[in-house]
Amino acid sequence: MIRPRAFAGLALCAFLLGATWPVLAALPSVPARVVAGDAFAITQGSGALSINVSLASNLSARNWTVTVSPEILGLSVLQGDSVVVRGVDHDAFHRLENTSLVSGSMGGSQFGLAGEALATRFGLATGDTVTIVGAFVPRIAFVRITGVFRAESVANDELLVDFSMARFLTGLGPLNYHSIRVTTKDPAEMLRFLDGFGSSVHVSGPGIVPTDIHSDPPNDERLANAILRTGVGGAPRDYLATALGEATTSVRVVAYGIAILIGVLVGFGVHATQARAFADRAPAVGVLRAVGASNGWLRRRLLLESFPFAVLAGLLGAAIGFFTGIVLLRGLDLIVFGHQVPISFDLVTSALIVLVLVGISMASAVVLLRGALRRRPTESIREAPATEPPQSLEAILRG
Amino acid sequence: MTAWAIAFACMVLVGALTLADGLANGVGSVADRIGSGPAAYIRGRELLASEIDANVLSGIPGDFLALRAHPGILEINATSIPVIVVAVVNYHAGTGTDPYPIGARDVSLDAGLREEIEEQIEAPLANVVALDLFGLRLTNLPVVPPPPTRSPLFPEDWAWVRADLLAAMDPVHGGAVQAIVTDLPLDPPTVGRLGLTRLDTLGAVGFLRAGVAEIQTPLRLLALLIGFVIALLVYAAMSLEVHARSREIAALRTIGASPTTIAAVYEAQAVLITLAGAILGTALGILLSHAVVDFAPLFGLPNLVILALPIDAIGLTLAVALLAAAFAGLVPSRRAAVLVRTKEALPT
Repeated sequence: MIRPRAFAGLALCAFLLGATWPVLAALPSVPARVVAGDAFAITQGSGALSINVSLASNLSARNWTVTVSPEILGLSVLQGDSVVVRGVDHDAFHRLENTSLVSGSMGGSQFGLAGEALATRFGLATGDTVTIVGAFVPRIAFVRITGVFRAESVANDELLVDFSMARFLTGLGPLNYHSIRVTTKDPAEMLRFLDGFGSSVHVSGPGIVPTDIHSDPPNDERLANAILRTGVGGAPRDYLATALGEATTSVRVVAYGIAILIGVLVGFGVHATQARAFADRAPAVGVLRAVGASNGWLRRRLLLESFPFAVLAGLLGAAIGFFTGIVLLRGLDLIVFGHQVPISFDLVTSALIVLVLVGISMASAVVLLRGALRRRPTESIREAPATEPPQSLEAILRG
Repeated sequence: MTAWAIAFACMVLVGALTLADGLANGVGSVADRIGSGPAAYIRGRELLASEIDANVLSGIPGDFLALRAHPGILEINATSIPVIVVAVVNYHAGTGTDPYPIGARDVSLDAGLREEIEEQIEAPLANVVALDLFGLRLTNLPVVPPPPTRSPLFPEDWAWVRADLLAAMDPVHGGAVQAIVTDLPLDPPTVGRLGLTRLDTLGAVGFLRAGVAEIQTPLRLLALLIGFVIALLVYAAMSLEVHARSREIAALRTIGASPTTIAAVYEAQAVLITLAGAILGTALGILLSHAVVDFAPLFGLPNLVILALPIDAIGLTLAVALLAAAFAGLVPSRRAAVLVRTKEALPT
């Protein structure tokens, strides 16, 4: 009962969702990827300071660990733009991230290694010297780029420095780190070890529920409230975990909010398209009712006719939108908090797009039919074509 | 229907900008609370490439440090080491003093740099060094002890010289100052007059602010896209309108309306439809963005987003919408004005 020409309108709506929702869905993952990546991240808990040289060396000595990478995270600015400066043991880091050298050298006690994407973005090359400011304490320092590396992770957008420089920039004590990232064959054994070691830590990573060991769980509101109330001195010890939670939820609210707004626009678009297409078929409803079709039969018939269109339009539009989004984003270089937003095919988001489109289409069809059923069959049957206002979305779709 | 379509498009733009502004406000409130420590003022975006005319420094009110910094090569004990060569002049009430080192050709190697060199050469430091800077090479420069005092802002791996030495080596690049470092912000007129940019020495603050600014870029592109959509909607609607009312247009022409009058009527209609849609969309966008932020904590998403009246977003949306409508309405309006000449519209 809804004509096939509505297909183009539905596909256009799905295209809009396909081009925007995967990007919006990827945004909130950026902060968590910066801290953990694809490894297990052990960060400071609310108890005694635990992320230190002792814990790192004890973890390294266990046979169930594959790689242990202690790290210091510095949020800094390079040439006016956000950049994460990560203090690392370069051997451990490169094993963990499986990086490859593009130019320069990886070694040395003092180093500044730029990820390839970062180097490209800022026009950096081996031998250049750049200004970096302190992360959590006021500082001015200069880092000489000793090499450029390539990584498949967020590190490709980061600047790696030695611990001495990282401690200068962050004000962290000589034996402490911000996080220890671990790859292990036995996550359960790692958690047991941390418990037995008495560390106050938060642990997160692939395949495990975020765990708090000898620590209160991170409270999403604590850091901002504490800082707003008392200043930096009021920040809890596990400020990294709480800041991560706040950053993630805040970005999520904005991203989901924009997604909802686009969803509303798409909902209107789908309904307007179907309304125009259905208006021409109202006489058919009248004829069917006149020859004895029940309301239930009409409803089922309409849904059965609309469903394949909606599914097909959703799949096609979402796929084209998704690939257009990827092409556009490559050209636009979408950077959030110093990192390129990774857009990859996400089955859940894609399925959600199709589901939303089909849902809106079905709901719209039911609403339209209900309106047609309110009229007497003889009122629906007419010779003249439906007179919809000319300023409909369908007008656009028909050129 | 066109007004509704424009309203929903404007709703997306206003809502998205409102939410992004809200995130910026929230992050900004935390960043302001953290404070930003001493400020460095530079020209351009990179301190090492900044060049501030040293002659204007005496006219800047207040106390500050004038920092000169250049990457160079130090040759000591027959080993070449890349270093940062710096000179600092303290300014107080318009008068500059160059506190350390004392000798015109002295090179003071700071404690961290000394350790690094000693580790590398595995021998006591020589008393003289050679310095490659600005493409020149100075030899037999006396090595003196580290500076007795140093701002906690600076690391301990720099080589310190007098500002005069740098100016003598290269009056243009060596004479210029790279940064003005001050505990209190410079007054805005001075900053504007000298074309300076503030470099927050506390990176987390700058990181958060720049991070939020990064989100604004795709939203500006969204504004362009919305403008295009509105233009398309208006063009299609007005084209159909002109087509549907061709007889009325012909009648108007018959009773003496000029082509300009008819074009103006349709152009005004396009702008009015768009204005109505944009106002409705703006209200919807603000309402929905508030609903999203206010209800988010109920769904386990407490957040830092602080919404305010989005004056800029409203202005941008209205400007984009009206501009798009004005442009998109031109062709149909012109078509309406010349329609009667084609005689297509004459009553039969």
